Amino acid sequence: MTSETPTYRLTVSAVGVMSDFAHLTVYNGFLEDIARGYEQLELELKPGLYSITLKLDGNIIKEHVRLTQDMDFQIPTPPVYASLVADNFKSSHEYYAINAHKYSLEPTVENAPEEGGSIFLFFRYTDVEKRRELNNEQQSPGQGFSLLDAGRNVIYKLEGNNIKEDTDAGWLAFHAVLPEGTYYLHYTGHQCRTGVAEDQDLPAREIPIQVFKSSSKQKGSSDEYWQTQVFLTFGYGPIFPSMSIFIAPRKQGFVNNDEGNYRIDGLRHKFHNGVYILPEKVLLEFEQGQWTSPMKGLLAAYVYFSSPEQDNEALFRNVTEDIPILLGQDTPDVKALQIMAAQYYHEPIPPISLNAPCMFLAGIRAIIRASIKAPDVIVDDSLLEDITDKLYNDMVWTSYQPAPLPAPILESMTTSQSESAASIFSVVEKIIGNEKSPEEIGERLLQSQTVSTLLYYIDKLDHELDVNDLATRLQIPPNVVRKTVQHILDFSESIKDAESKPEQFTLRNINKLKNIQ
Amino acid sequence: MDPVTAISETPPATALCEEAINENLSKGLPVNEEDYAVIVGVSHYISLAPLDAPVTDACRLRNWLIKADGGNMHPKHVFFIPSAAGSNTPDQLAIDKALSDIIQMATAKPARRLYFYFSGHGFGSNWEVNGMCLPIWSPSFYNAALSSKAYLDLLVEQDLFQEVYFFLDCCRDRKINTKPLHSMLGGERPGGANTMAVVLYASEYENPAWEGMMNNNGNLQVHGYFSRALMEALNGGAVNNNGDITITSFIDYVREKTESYAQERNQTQTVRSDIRNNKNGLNYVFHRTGRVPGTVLTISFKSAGDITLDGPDLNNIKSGAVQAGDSWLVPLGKGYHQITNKTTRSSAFITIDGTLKTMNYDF
Repeated sequence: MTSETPTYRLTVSAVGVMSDFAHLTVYNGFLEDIARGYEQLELELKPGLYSITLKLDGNIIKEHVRLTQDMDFQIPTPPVYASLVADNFKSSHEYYAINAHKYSLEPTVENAPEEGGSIFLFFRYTDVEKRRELNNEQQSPGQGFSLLDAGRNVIYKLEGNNIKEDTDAGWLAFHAVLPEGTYYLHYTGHQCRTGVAEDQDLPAREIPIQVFKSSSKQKGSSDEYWQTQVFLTFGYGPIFPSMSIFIAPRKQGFVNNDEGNYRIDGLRHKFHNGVYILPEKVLLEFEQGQWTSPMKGLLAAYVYFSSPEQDNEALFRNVTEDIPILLGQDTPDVKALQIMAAQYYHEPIPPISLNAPCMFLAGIRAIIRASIKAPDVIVDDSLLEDITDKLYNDMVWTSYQPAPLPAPILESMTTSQSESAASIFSVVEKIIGNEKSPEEIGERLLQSQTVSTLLYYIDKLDHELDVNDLATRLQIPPNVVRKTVQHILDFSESIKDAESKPEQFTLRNINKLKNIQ
Repeated sequence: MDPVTAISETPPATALCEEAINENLSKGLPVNEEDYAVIVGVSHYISLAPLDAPVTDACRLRNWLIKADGGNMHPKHVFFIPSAAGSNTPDQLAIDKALSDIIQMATAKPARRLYFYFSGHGFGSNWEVNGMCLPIWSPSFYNAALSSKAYLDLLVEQDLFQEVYFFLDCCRDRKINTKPLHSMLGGERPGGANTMAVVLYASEYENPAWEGMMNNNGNLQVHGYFSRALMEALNGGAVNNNGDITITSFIDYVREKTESYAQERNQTQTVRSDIRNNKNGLNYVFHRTGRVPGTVLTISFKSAGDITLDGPDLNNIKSGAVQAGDSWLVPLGKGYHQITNKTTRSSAFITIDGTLKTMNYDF
């Protein structure tokens, strides 16, 4: 005769939108965590009291279970708010989704060429009520936004005939057909309104956006070009961390019930929070070679190479081989992923160089890390080099404090002249602006966090100073450290006879700076 | 950390932190000589709102670490670094000096464990880098904060300690374009593969960590929700039914309690944990208390009926008929319990977390 306690099957599932990303934890009756994972857990358990916690997007749902027989326990996922105007998101509304779909198919700018990829931007509020609450004057969300070309020339301002918008409902669409290459979404910043406590100043910002080359796989079909789709939610101003970016066949435009988009947005959201999860369904798509969305491939590869896990090595070696075929070998994100893959596999950095930023911040970080041993990975005096000490870290996308908006292109000016006019001038010249006296210049110089933090390290570090050590501490390339040091020394030389100078410019510190040259 | 809006004036926090004594030292009993701690509490800032909890919370942790039935550490191995009113201290060098002294001691003889605790203002530079604000932090020197990642890397990569516990009770609100300071300690960093690191952030990236007035054994005091949960966990709340605190039971307890303290005040705060190099498994016991947690529960019945009270594994603890106004006094172990009124067909789950000696429940 046996007296073994029976066991029962407990299946716990998250059901509903974004269920792939719902994190489940099962606790036994003694409050011990006995199982955890995403979307579904299947357990064989003794009879007893259990509790289940579901976490998704900041929401926590807790349920209790009395297990006395086999049980399927389903927990609906909480409503999800996102910039993407997809069908199943709580913050999607027909008045946004219809217009997003419509204008992703119709260029909003005049005289649009037929051939080429495109950039589609869709700005919106959470809903029309929020627009009324936060922007009673119905100001256009496009205020302060411009699209720049690779040479940082303004090609479109997000205003007038370049856009379609409904300032009452609170949305704006911009769609331009463009040749492949890197473009920059430039934002001049936002000054908070007096008397509105929640409103905050927003600094200027620039975001690289890639128009990817037409896919060789797609040649000959009507969907031969890619469209880069950017969705952004507004509060008092743009909420940049909410930005979602997708890549879809241009002729297909934005599809508001595309299952793949939920996974891309879920991956992005988790990646933003440092959670490197690749749902089984995504991995399965890759294994079966079914991935048609380049953004899913890019994002999954960035997630995988950011994670310490090494359980899908062969699969991601294949993904990194497929992405260049789909998006082009010279694309900054493709190059950044090759660098990141080399770091991940502990292989030598490939002989790659970049002069423009990639779209993913994780890629820029990988490039900066690589530059410590392989400085040539960043082209000298390039835009990429210039932005490495101005990066914002608040979203998965690359963004940075930009140089002021260049003057509009004069028709008489040739492309090469305009590119040369917009070339990168020295870090310090940009920092010091119009100040004239040594005191003013010194003060302004020290307002640069890179300069002031560098001088702090110079002052406090006692051991021998090393450019690579300083580069690691400041998370900038060694060449930028060298140039910043040289600029400080040049400035110091220019004020050597001045009566008063900033306290950081002591002889001791200047000598230490000279020694690291 | 975000301050509460209205708090009564409290005396300087350092005055509240009495010297802790390890009774085992005076009795000649063994102490954990291989353990070390750096405990930083910054309540006072030049440009930021003062906080009420950090020095008090740091003091409580310091005292627990020294007490014989707590961390049982040698007092000289616990470096307590509080801020003081009207002062710029501590600066980075004070914290680096403490770490340098510990590294020297840990190099001279084998070390087991290092605790690093910071309570004060903070910000999220990115999801893996938190800025721990120094008293001199200001908008014009917004890098005047220690980088959590750089300090953790430094301590782990030394491979001097078997275990590093990193507790950060500070906000993780985003501050863009910040590069918090790395330690001034240099030297070779051989690896980091041999040190297990358990990191607990008081909140998720981009979210604040809160402090608030709380009842602490009858005394009203301001504590960080996270630090309060941390201390309760160490004082027995995280003990499992074997009387042990494991990594899992500890993290689960701190997470759940912090969340519930925040929810009680209509706030949200979710603890984030990261574990590196955990070769010991999540059930690794990092503190043994020998005490099995339990609570005496008074259940007051609002309606009559046929009642059953079941325990975590469905064992019946008590059953019988009750009238409205009756009450039961039942000693319960830590865990979930289910009470059912078979007459009215109503049921409820009762959670006993083991931190309270007595509890009341209306059913």
